[in-house]
Amino acid sequence: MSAVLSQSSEFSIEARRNCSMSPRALLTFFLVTCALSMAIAAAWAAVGVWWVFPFAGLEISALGLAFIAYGRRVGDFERIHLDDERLLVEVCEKTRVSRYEFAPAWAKVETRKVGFGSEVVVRCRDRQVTVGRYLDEKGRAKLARDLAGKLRERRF
Amino acid sequence: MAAIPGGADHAHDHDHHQPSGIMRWVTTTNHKDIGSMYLWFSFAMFLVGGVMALVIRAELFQPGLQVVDPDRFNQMTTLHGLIMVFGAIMPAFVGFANWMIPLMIGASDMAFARMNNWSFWLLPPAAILLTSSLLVPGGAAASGWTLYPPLTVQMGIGMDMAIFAVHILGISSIMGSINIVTTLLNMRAPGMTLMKMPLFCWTWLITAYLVIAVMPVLAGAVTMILTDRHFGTSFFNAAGGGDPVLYQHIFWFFGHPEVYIIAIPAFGVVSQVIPAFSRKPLFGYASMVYATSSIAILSFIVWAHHMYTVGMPVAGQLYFMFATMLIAIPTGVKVFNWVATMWRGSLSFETPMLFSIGFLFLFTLGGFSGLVLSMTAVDIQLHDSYYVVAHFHYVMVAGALFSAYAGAYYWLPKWTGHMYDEKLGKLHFWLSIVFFNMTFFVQHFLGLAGMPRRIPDYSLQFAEFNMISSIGAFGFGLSQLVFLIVVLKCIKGGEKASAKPWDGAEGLEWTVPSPAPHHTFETPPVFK
Repeated sequence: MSAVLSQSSEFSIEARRNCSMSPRALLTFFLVTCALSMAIAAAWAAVGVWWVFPFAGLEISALGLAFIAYGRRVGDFERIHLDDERLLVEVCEKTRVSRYEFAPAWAKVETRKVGFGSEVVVRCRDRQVTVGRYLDEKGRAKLARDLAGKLRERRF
Repeated sequence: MAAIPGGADHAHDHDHHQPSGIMRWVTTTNHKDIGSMYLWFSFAMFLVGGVMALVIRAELFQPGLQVVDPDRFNQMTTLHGLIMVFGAIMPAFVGFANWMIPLMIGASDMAFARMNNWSFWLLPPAAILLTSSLLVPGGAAASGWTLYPPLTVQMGIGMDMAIFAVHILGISSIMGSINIVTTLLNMRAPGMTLMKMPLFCWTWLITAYLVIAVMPVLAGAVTMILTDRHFGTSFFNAAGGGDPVLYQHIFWFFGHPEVYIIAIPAFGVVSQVIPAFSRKPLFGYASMVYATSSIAILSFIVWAHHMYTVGMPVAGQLYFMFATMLIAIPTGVKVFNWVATMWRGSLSFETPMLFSIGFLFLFTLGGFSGLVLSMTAVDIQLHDSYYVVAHFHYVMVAGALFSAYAGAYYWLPKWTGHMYDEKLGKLHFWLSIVFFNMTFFVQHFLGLAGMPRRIPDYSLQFAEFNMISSIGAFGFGLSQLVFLIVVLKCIKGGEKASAKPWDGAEGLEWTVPSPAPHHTFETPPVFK
């Protein structure tokens, strides 16, 4: 998945899952499809062929469930904010937001090889959180480099 | 369209954590594996359906009954149609979609990878049901692929097996379509707007939408046949007050869009291949999108041109005639655009291009004979004759199959990592086009002379053309084995293919190495 990044002078970054259609557009698409399918089923029911209805209903329900299942991930994001007081990492998955707060003086950034790629881990003593999952390899490397640099600046 | 992969790393290509052997294929959720399975399945079904066609042509080699009895002959025509439409052509293009759509839009996989696995694995049981129905008492369904009542209300258990198989195939198609729609709408690489998608993706978006719109109609129709057969209803049984003609309306409301469900992805493949070998961008991209959408919309309002002879009011006949003729306009736009793409291009004629030009020439011929049949007065004369058989084989075989071959040769280097044997590929094309025309062109004359279809015996006056057609059919059938040899050779070895083996090819799929690694675009590329 990819990212939409924003970066300010104070280190702050937000990465979102790549989704090429907005939830509103997806809903419109679904409603149009639903209307078409139901119109066809209704027209056939009007001439006595009511068996089309249950199948159309099942199919549209399946399409709706598919869109919901995918749409639940649309809002996923990662937010990293660093100021003098704290390093805040927010991770949103399926509408559940997890917040991690670290002391900048003690926080470390590590890059690990995992499977076929890498992951970036922010760690402080025994607590850790993985970040950069919506970035590509280059983006992850840059994130690790920049964040480690900013943490170093605050340390000295 | 230019594409730059934004640092997508494909070095780590081989998955070490997946099952091996048969379990890899049973449990796989990888779009490339599933695409390959679809393509192999469709080719296997193409051979099975092809053997049935050869049984038909062997029987028709000369007048009289020689090879099969009339009942078995009807079973062959029915299963040949069902298998070719639902078991061979449709899965072939779903195979292309699975393999290529994620690669073309820069997605890591299909939106619902597990559902994708299910969609495929529903196909073999359906195929087994269809083919094994030949062995049950009473034999397979023998009503033609359209499953018209009252014949279907009267047949044995083979008919129930066919209905069940159609249901399963329909569920598979719907699951596949939902997956494709969700993938195309949501998982395009950043920067790839809908109007920047490769045309193959557009054609699949439209096709998937058609499937979603019409599959419930088919499901309803065959379920009503089932209830007529076993649960005492009389939807279509005239003996109980039902209306067999109503079934024809329902079936063709599904059946005509189904023709485009098959043809539209074929248009998409050709729209990728022709620009690559013309070394020019596709002429009129936007007009191609609108023309394809128009064809899809029009396909909903022309169904009764398949049934002019059932006794429609003249106003109805006129409406369906003119509506059908309208389809020639967007189709003409497409043909014009393909020709315009080639115009003053730097053309080369490798096998994919040969099959695309073959498609263009023969599909246009099939379109013209379709225009002839769209005229009510003419169609009443030619209805259920061999002219119709010739027409739809020009559209389905020369259209869909030739395009599928164009796509297979075009993407084989990406799939296997090796270049195919060009000489054998060209031999395959020339044998196919010669024998195809030998088989089906003469059937126009048979139809014009009055030979009805779906008969195992015929009058002596039709003997010569039938003999030519049968020889052509055997030649065409055997020619397809050349393709199998080409593919097996290509998998086994051959010249290494570069990431972009065709210098005129454009698109994200050519930015990944050949063969495409097991995992691609784990993070999406930036599309410009």
